[in-house]
Formats: sequence, structure tokens, C-alpha cells
Amino acid sequence: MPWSGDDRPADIVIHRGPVPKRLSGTVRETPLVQVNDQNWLRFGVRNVADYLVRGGNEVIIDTPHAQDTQDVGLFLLGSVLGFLCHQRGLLPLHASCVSFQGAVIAFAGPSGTGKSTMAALLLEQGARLLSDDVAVIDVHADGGPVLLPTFPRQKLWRDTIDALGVTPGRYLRRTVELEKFDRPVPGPFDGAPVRLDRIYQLLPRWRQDAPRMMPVSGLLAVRMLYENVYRRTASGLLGLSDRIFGDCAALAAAGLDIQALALPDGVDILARSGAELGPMLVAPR
Amino acid sequence: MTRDDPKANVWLASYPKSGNTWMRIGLITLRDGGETLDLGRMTNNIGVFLAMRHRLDMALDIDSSDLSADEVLLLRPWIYELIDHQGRETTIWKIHDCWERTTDGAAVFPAEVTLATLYLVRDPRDVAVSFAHHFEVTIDRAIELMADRDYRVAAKKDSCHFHLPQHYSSWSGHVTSWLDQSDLMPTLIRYEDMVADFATALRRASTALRWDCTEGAIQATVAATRFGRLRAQEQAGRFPEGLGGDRLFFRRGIAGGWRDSLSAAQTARIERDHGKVMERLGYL
Repeated sequence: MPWSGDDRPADIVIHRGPVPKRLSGTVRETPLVQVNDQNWLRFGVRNVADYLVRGGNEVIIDTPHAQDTQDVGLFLLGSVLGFLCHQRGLLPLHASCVSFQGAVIAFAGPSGTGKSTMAALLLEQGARLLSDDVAVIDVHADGGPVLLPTFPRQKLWRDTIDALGVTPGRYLRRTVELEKFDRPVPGPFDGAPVRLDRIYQLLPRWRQDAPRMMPVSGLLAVRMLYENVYRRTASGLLGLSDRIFGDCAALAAAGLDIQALALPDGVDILARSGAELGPMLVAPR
Repeated sequence: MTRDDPKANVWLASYPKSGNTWMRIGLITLRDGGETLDLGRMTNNIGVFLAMRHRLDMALDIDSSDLSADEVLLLRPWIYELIDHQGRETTIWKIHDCWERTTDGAAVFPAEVTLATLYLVRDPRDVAVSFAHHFEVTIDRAIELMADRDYRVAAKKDSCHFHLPQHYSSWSGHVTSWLDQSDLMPTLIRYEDMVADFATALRRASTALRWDCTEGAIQATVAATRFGRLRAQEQAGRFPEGLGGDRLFFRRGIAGGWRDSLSAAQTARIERDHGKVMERLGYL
């Protein structure tokens, strides 16, 4: 993807190098994450790579695998992106975002609830992808919260790919067997920050054929956003819990349209509902 | 981040269709002193389903959906002290996995974080009938799956379920994993004994949980959770874990229903597959 910004120095430098098994000065840790007294964060994915994330602007990757091994990039563009956001004062939500018929929409929810599938469905109807899986939000931007688009690719499972009839791209993992693919999304990609309009919290396991929507506001919206903060445990290890909660409250109060969206169970049913879902998601309220 | 007392977890474990939900409802009601039960409000209360993918992802800062089932299993022993207990002093986890160790040798349900283990078991002939109804498969298929030591759910390699992959093992394998292989000393409660005398079953469960319950609360709970009442609430649309369509979760609530539902050949197959464990549990 070509660089479209100005000629300022890089915001984040990513390079290979040694990452110690034990981060010196570790003050808080979980089984995969260590944080030290300088707020450096070490993240280890067994048999894939160890990552050292510091200052919100540097990532060191220690891996025995070749540079282009997709597994290494997968966790870099996932968890590590989340850690960088926390260190940079941005709010990462577990959400996929599209721009569709003039509205910027985020689909939030845990894995397996259909975020990427919903985005893929709308892409078929002319939407543009802004982010997949991790939505980076600058809550305190001048003029209100904005979404910082990430990259034009999607992580999609075989069942979604088959149901939507899209081209898969390469496997996301090389070191283990997983029918999950890195799907490059064609078309122009605009990385400029955009105003976020709507957030849909996806609710799993709706046993009806028709989707259902319910508005969420006030404290419930704060809680809902908080539940969707990406890499939230790590934000706590970095000592940022209060700020994260404040950001969620600010986002909930920013006048966005926030809805809980119960989708029919099953990717096939969802694929068939695409045509009616689109208009429903952007209908004026 | 970690809790003062790691022994904050109770495993409410069973093979599916063995009274787990019924016991959960009983414990919720008992904890509230036997007050009238509202099934519509029970979901996130007692008997929280452990294998929800987002609990592991949130605890460990990783997307388990980017990991293979084997990689996920290796992480499962490490989540309990990080999981969000939402202010509960102890959490009763509903579990259908068999008890096992990872290839690292760590127990998926470690004794060090265990307050108590309740293991519920039911005559596999009745399980087969209920299993077929619940999962919409033929009884023969249910019997086949119940004999499969490798039986796993939410474990497809081509799609992502919001549950984690779970290894059920066979019915016999499940029972012996919890009763013999685990180091948890489970309190064993038979479904048939729950049907015959729910008060005694509740007393045994509450003793294991170290709950101090009055006899009045036990009796009130038994009355509030009678099968007819649960079924009436489900029919009134108040059971959030219902099966959808016109199939009822609270189907018969009896022991020995297999006698009018299984063929002689089906009965013989189950008894052949599981005879040893059935005999041990008093089913043969």
C-alpha cells in the first residue's frame, strides 16, 4: 500500500531484534503480557514471536520465522496494534468499520459474533472498509470522536468466504492449521480520520430469521463500549484503566447512534439477509 | 488484578443433558432464599458458562480465534485469576468439557483455583434421548457421538464459534475424567436422585459450596423449581436459553423415560458402550 501522508518521520518504527524473556523492571504481568516500570510492554505468542512495544512508537519483534511469515504479522496487526493505541492515548475498540451510504458504521463485539462478516456483507453493497477487527478511535479529537482507518484487509473464515462467494487471499496462519484467510479488500483506501456516526453492538445467537435492533444509551452505552475495549486487560497493566473508562464515557456521550443488533444465527442466513440489512443499518433515526 | 483468594471457582460439570441447567436454577433460587424464581433473569447469575470465547480473549489480551484449538487449550489453565468475576466472591461455572490436562501437563480446571466441584451424572440411556432432542439429531447419531472419545464442539477449523472449542469425550470418558482422573474430589450428584429428592441434592450441593442454608430455604427452592413451573415459564417465553422453534428445553423432567423412547437395539448399544461405568453408578 503506497504511503499517502507527508514526509514527516515515521510515527511508529517496527523492526526485528532480541526481546528478553523477562522484561527487566516488570511491575505487572499476565501469562502473555509483561509491563515494566517504564510502561514497556512485552507480549509473547508461543511458537510465533515475542514483541516489545514501547513509547507508543516502537515495536521490536523477536521471531525465528522468516519476515514474511503471516503469523508474525497477524499478532502485530492485532494485539500489538491495540497495545500501541493504549500507549498513544487512543481508544481501540474490538470492532470492524465501514463507510456506507454516507455513514461511518462500527460493528463491535467479541470474536465469533459477526463483525467481519457484517463488514464483508456491506462491502458487497458498495461500502468502503475502514478497519477490520480493531477500530482505532481518537475520542478527544477537535470537533468530536474520529475513527483512524487502519488497513484494507479483512480476516475471514472459510464459511464466510464461501457464503459470500468472495476471494480468500492467503492463510492467516502458516504454523498451524486454521481455515481463516487474509482477504485484501480491493478499491481505493482512504486513511484520513473520519467522524464516527454509528456503533452496533452485535449480539450472538439470535434464533429468529430477522435481525432486531435496540437503542443503547447512558450508562448502558458506557458499559457496552467498555466491554468492547480491545486489549483492555493490558490497558489496566499499563495503568490506564481510569482513562479508558473516561474515554468510553466520553464516547457514549458524544451523540453517536449506538444500538444493540441481534443477528440471525448462521452465516448463510446472514448472507441472504444482506440486501435488507444494509438499508436498515443506515436508516435515519 | 488478581484475587486475594484464588480458590474462587466452583465447577458445575456434567456431560450435556444431565441436569446442569436444573441445578443452576436450583442454586440461584436457593441463594436468594427460595424466593420466587424468574428464569428471565438467570442467565448471568449463577452457573456462568465458562467456555465463552470473549472471557479468554479479554483475560489474556489475545484473539483466541486466531489460534488453533490446541493453542487455545494450552492457554485455558491460565485465565481464572484474570477473568472478570464481576464482583462475585465465588463464581459457579457451568462446564461440559471433560476434565483433562494440556500437552504441557497443566490441568484445564486446576485444583489450585478450585473451591468445589459438583459433578452431575445421568443415565446415558436418558441422556441419549434428551441429547437427540436438544441437538436435533437422530437417537442413533446421539448414541454414536456419546461413544466418541474424540467428540468436540465449537471446534470447526473453517468457522468461528463464540464458544471456545470444548472436548466432551465419550459419556463414559467424561464421567471417568472428572471422577477418576481429576484431583478435584467432586461431589457426585445423580440426575435420578435430583428427580427423586431434590431437597437432598440441594443440601449436598450447598454443603460442597459451604453455603449456610436453612431448611426453609431448601424447601422453598424445591417448590419454586418444580418441573411444571420451569416449563410454564419457558412456555410463557421467559427462558432465555430456550431452543427456539417449538422445541421445549424442559421436555419431560423424568428419570427412565428411555424405556418408551429407545429401541431394544439402541438400549443394548448404550449398555455395551458404557456398561462398566453404568454399573458403577447404579444404572445397571
